[in-house]
This record gives sequence, C-alpha cells and structure tokens, in this order.
Amino acid sequence: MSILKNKKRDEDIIRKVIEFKSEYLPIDKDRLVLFAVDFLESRNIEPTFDKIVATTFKLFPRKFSLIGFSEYPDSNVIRECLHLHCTKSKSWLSGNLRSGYRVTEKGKYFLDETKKILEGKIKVTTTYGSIPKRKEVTFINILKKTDAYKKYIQDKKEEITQSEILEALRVPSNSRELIKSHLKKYLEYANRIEDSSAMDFLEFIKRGLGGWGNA
Amino acid sequence: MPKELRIEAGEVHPKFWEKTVKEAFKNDPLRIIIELIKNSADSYTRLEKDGKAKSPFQIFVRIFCKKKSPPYIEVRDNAGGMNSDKLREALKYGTQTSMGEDVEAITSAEKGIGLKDAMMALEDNWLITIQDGLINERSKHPDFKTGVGKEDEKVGEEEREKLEISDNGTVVMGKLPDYFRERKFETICERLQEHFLMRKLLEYPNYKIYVIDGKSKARKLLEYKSPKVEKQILRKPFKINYNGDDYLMVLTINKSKDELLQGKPYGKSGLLFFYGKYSVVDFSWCRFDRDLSFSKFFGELQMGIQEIIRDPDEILVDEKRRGLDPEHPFNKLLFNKVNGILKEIQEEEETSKYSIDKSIKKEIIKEVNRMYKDVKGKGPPPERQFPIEPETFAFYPVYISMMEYEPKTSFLIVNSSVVSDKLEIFLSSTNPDIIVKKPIIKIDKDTIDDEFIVKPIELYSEKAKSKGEVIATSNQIGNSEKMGVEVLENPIFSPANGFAFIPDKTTVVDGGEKKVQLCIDRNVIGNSKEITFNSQSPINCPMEWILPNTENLGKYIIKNIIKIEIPIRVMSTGHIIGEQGTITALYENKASELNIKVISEPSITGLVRDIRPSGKDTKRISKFIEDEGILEIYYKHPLMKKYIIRKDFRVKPDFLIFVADTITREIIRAFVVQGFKENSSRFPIFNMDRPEPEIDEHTIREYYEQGPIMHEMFIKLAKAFRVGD
Repeated sequence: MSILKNKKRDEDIIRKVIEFKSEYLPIDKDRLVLFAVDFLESRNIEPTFDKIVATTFKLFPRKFSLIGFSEYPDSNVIRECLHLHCTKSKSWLSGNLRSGYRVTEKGKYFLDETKKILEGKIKVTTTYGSIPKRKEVTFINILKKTDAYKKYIQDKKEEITQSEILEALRVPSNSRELIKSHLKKYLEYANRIEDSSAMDFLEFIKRGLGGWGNA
Repeated sequence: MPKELRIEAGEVHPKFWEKTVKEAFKNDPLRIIIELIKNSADSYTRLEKDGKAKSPFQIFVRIFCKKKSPPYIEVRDNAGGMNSDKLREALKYGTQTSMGEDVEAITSAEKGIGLKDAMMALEDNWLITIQDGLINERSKHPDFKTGVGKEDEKVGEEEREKLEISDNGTVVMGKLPDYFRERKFETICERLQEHFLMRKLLEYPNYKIYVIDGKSKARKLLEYKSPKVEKQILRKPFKINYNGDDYLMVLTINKSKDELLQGKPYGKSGLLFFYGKYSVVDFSWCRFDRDLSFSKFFGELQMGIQEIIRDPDEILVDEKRRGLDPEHPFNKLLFNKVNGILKEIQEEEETSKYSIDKSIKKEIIKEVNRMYKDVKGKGPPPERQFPIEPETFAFYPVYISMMEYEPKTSFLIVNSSVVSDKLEIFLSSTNPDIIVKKPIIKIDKDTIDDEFIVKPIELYSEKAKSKGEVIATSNQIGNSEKMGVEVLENPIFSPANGFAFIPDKTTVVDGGEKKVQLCIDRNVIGNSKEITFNSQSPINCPMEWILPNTENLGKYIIKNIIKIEIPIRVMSTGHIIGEQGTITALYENKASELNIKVISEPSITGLVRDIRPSGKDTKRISKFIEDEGILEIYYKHPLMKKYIIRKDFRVKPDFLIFVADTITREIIRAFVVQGFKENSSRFPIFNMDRPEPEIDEHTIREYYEQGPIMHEMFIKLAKAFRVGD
C-alpha cells in the first residue's frame, strides 16, 4: 500500500512541476536534461527514464515539445540527450534505461554551472536552437540557403528573379499546380516550426506570384 | 634395367593416392620431373650444409623422346646418395620426410608430393643410388609394393661409368605416364624453365640443371628469365600470429613494363609463395587471381613457416595439391593480410590514373598557404567572443581530464567590471598530487582592454587516478569558484608486454628524421644490456641500443618505466609517399613493432603541401590530412564518379561549384585547426576537451570572409582534374 502511495506521490509531484521561469531557450539541451535529473534527485524521486522525460518536458516545454504538438514531449530528443550525450560522450550521467540515471561526480560540476547559467550568473555566448532536426526544419534550412531568400534578407527584393523563386520552392518547371502545392507545404512547415522570417519570405513570394498562390 | 630380387609390402591405399597425388600430376604432369629435380637439389643442399659439397651442384635430366608415346627420363645427381636404410625410409609412405630434417629437404610437404610420388607416377621406375662404394636399387610398383634389386653390393667401375656416377649419387629413371602429353625435347625444356615450381631453384647460380636429349645428346642449361622490373612497389615484412606464435613473412611486389601472363603453372604475373631458399608452395594473387589490374605485377612471399610446415597436424596444402589450402586457419590469416596489401596497391594503382595539372596545383597551394599566413596573423576576430561571460569570474571548462606527467591548460574568465585597481585571485588545489603551476593571478586594471579577461591556468600531476578540485578565491570580490580535475593514466606507462613502442605508429618525412619512444618496464630488464633493432628499407635506425648500467638507469626511469628515445630516419629521398616501413625492437624474448609511414617532404612550406586524388572509399569528397599536409580529393565519391567518368565535368558549373565549396570548407577548417595549434589569436579555443563547437564557429566566420576567393581558386582546381593516361 505504502509503495503504491509513493508511486502516486512521485507522479503527482512531477505533474505539478511548472515551466522554468528564467530564459532557457538558448541553453543546450544536454544541460537542461542534466538539470532535470538533478531536479528529481533533489526531491528524492528516482530518476527513471519516464520520470526524466516528463520532468524535462514540464520544466522546459518550449525546448522539448514535438513540432506542431506543443502539448507533447519529444521523448526521442530527450533520450538522445540522456543516453548519447550526457551518459556516453560527456559522462555527466551514469546509468541506462533499465537501471535509471544518476549524476556523476563530473556531472556535478556542469550541473553547478548550468544552475548559474539559469540563474543568470553566467551568460553563455553560444546559443543553441530549440527545434529538433525534422523534415520541416530541413526543408526550411534549405530554403534559407537559396539565393532568393538571401536577397530577400539583404533587402534586395527587386533583384530576385522568377527562376530563383522556382529554385527556392524546388519546382523544376513553371507548373502552376506544383508551385501552388510547394508553396503551401513550405508555409505549413514554416508555420509549424514558428519561423517568422521564413513565413515572411513565403508570404512575399505568395504576393509576388499574384494569382498563382491563391488559385 | 636392374633385376628385381624381392618385394616389400605397400603402405598406402592406391585409391587415395589416385584421388590426390595422381590427380595433381594429371593436372600438371611436368611436376613429376620437377619433383625428381628438387629431390636432387635437396641432396646437394644437405651436403653443403654439412660442408661436404661445393658448388656448382649439377643435376642432369636425360629425356628420351618418342613420337607416339611418352618420354623415358633419367634424373641424376652426384650428391650424397643413400645407404640401404635411408633408401628404404625414403620410399616408404607414412614418414613425413624421406630425407632428414633440413628445410629444403621436406619435399613432400611442399605440395604434399615428393620423391616416392614421382617414382610411383613413372612406369617401370627404378632408383639406383651409390654411397661409399655400395649400390642399392629399388622400384615402386603400381600397387605400392616396393621392388628391391641390389642391396648394399659393391659397385664396379663399369657400372659407375654406365650410371655416370663417379663417387656418390642417385639416378631415378622410368617412363612418363600416358597423361604426359609433351613429345618434343625443346618444348619440355621450355616448360621446365617457365614452371613456377622451378623459378626459385633456377634463381640460384649454384644449382646447374642440365637437360640432355637422349637421342642427339644435345645439352641445355635451364634458366629462368624474370620479367624486367620497372619499379619495386613494395618490400614489406609482416607477421602472422597463429596459435600464439608469430611467423615472419616478407612480401615483395614489383611492376613490369609489359603485361604478363597470369596464372599457374607458366604465368609470370602472380605471387610466388615459398619458404626456405626454393621450396615453392603456391603461385597466386589470392582473391585477385585473374584480376587484370595486376597483369603488370609480379612478386613473391617468403614465408617463415619452417616450424609449422613440419607439423603433421598442420597440412597447409590442399588435398589435391593445388596450392595453399584456403580453408586452413593459418592460410586464412595469411590470405587476409595479403589481400589487404594487394587492395591498397590496386587502389594506389588506380589513383595514379588520376592527376591534377601540376602548375595549377602549385599555384593554388602557394595561394592557399599565403592566405593562411595572412589570416592567422590577422589578430583576434572582429567580434571577440568569450565562451562564457560570468558575473564575476568562472572556470572554463568547469571540469578537465588530464594525463599524468603531461601539463594541461584550463582558463579562468574574469569579468573586468569586478576589477578595481589591482585584483588578486588565489588558486589552490584540494589534492596535493594536482599542482597548479601559478597559484596567484594578478590583474591590473590599467592593463585591461576588454570586457572579459582570459587567464590560462597550467596544471600538472604525476599521479594517475587522482581526483580533486582547483578552487579560485578572491578576498576583494568575496567569491570562490571551483573546477573538477581528474588525472588519467598515461599510455606510456603501460607498454604492452612491458616492452613496446608508444605510440606504435608514426610518420616521418621523406629524407627526414625524428625520435620515437620505446618504453620498457623495469621488471622486464634482465641480464642483457642490448636492445637490437631491425629496420626495413626505407627506414633506418641504430642496429642496437645499449642500456645504461643499473646505477645509471635511475635517471631514465619514471614510474618504473624506462623511456628511450630512438632516432629514426628515411634513407635518402624520392620514396613513394605513403610507403611504409617497420622497425622491430628485440630484447631477450620481447619484441615490439613500430609502423612508420613516409610522408612528403615539406618542400612547399606552409599548411598545404600537396593536393592529390585518392581512391579511398569514403563518403566525403575531400579531406585535409593534417599529419601529412595533404588535401585528398576522393574520386570514388558517387558524384565525382558520375561526372568525372563522363569527362564533361569541366562544363558542369553546378558540379564544379559543389566540389569547390566542399574543398573550401575543408581548407578553412584546416586553417582554424592549424591556427589554434599554432596559438593564433584569431582562433582561440577554450574548451579543449570538446573543441568542435568552437572550431565550427570559427570555420563559419572565416567561410564568409575567405570563401568567395577560395571558391574561384578551387573551381580552377576542379577543372584541372585529369583522368586517364
């Protein structure tokens, strides 16, 4: 009975965890996962995989949610951070899915540093993105490497040629249908990953193409 | 023809013999004669070893050719002959060797075929031997029984004259079997001197093998003309470790100017596998048999297998005596090794078809090196970034791993806003085994010209597995920070088997020299003071090294390990870049091997010394090899393959731009890495344990600055790529 109670208590505590107040988006994910493991340990909750996933997501939802489904945790990213980075390559944590995880001696130093970063006592100049590398991000990144996008960003809109726009949208011919469908897809992707500059650029194309995009 | 006086029983089932040895003879009937020749050669070798014979060692093969039936032969030597006991033993099946324990004498082990088998193959065969004035005669019957003629009878002068044996010697005679198809004397001579099993024997001028036409009495001395060597591609010793023992092999491969015939028994292109002086066991290119890319190559593999070849449990040749049994575990290891080496040669050969226009290459190398010199001397990047910006001060990184007996640098980053007048920060270690070289950091406000100050902290420890903290405190700021430190074991203190080169691989420039470390556990030191070194061309090193006396040994010892620095050098210049050599150090029963690769001489000073096409199987298009200063361009990359084979790549701008961009990024990354190594202030790296993110940042920054110029250069380079002769 007491064991069951305990189990419920751990879950309740995790359910009640609220989003971390300070700015955490520029901080790298490995540090945030390390922080979450310590968060559980310091509350006498055994840091098992499921609890770590739930806690990491509750503490840092904007960094660990699925693209387009901000209410769900991206457990794949958390697992990569936990297992591949924090445990295997950096040795900040020890353990595995079966045994659970704990902070190592080495990890404690990085944990202290992470706490100072979260408290604002240390500023990290290298910033890290929060969007996992998925199809949407890949395509938008490719879009951003095109000449049309670069000219748009450099405010040289008038120099953008029609063929550059077709290249940006990855449309091999002047097919109206294809342009329409690619533009729609790109807008969907940009919207899903909330990339405002890509959205602006795509809106600009939509307007420039007149009837094409709306047809 | 001798007269048979009695018969002795046989030992082998005829069906087994027919399935194995007869099959082998049927496939290659000339081997019957070759086995008899080699048997005579072995007799001379044994005598020479005992100091009882002087060269030339003459062997006479008399052939009586007939138009419609196989020839009758006599093979004669004037070596030691045999007494009746030895002869009985020699013709008896079930004994591993008929002729004693000399390396060359184990003829039956060469390919599982020997004197008795050759006799069995001859019709109406007889072996007549004279030793110390006594004559013995024996023959082998088709049912394996042995016919006995004269036994230990005194030999008369007339008989000696008839047999042409003035002192001791042996004659084997008989009619060659029906499957021996050759009928012409000249053809048989020609084939004998081209046969792979004869080549090593014919290489030795001491052995003179004469073939005599029984009818015309014409005499021909056999000679083997090896293909003309255009270039020696490789001479490489290596070891095969089998059942805990090392077997030394020496592989030599040459290239000829002309295409050569491949395959057994008369082809010239192939690897001759042999042991001792002339005992050939196979002729093959292993898995590259019939691969036309080897048609200009030929070579040999000298096998140090004297121990294993005598072991009756280790039958290295296959049952049908075709050559080395590919299923035998020893041969598997050997073939794997040889195949690996051959693959490298094949790749190099293929690479030689690809080239880059020399003048354009030189021009580009010069320009890239000028750019590098320019960039690294430019000073700090325009917007200097610190990895962290602390409120007061902080260590970066907060935890370091260092190696015992090797200093390591970490950093303390101080916010200049907290410095008032003169600031002192004290550094202390919680573990006395971890030493902070300069325990006080002093910062004078007047000297500050940046928002943050980076102070290097040098640490040192001689104790592996130590752990501790370095604490930084400042009374003025009232703050303290800590950094975790762990000390790892240095590999130089754990040499394999207590006696090893560390590291066991190194590079040395063509014509250059350097020192390498040989680490020896003190407990390994025995009575001997001498360490001997064997080096293979092109590497040269001292032949021996004398260890200091016990009383003077102390100053060479750290942690029970004696570290000796051995000078090595590449003899002369002009070697093939990438050529490998080995140094083997031997001390009492210990041995260690150091593999050395020859790299190009830095005649072009600077970061990039050469740009060359490479046939490595890799997913990359190019890679900068730091150690060698070489930019490799991989033509096996699918995109390169696609365009380069079509040969119209020079007019494909998309392809050229892509290649140029890839090379640009690679070279800029090399700028950053090398700049960091040379302590260029333009490329500071703070987190030495994980420098990649910082290297990437510098690379991206420099890409935007240097990229456009480099793009143009490398498009030119891509256009200068040449394929074919």
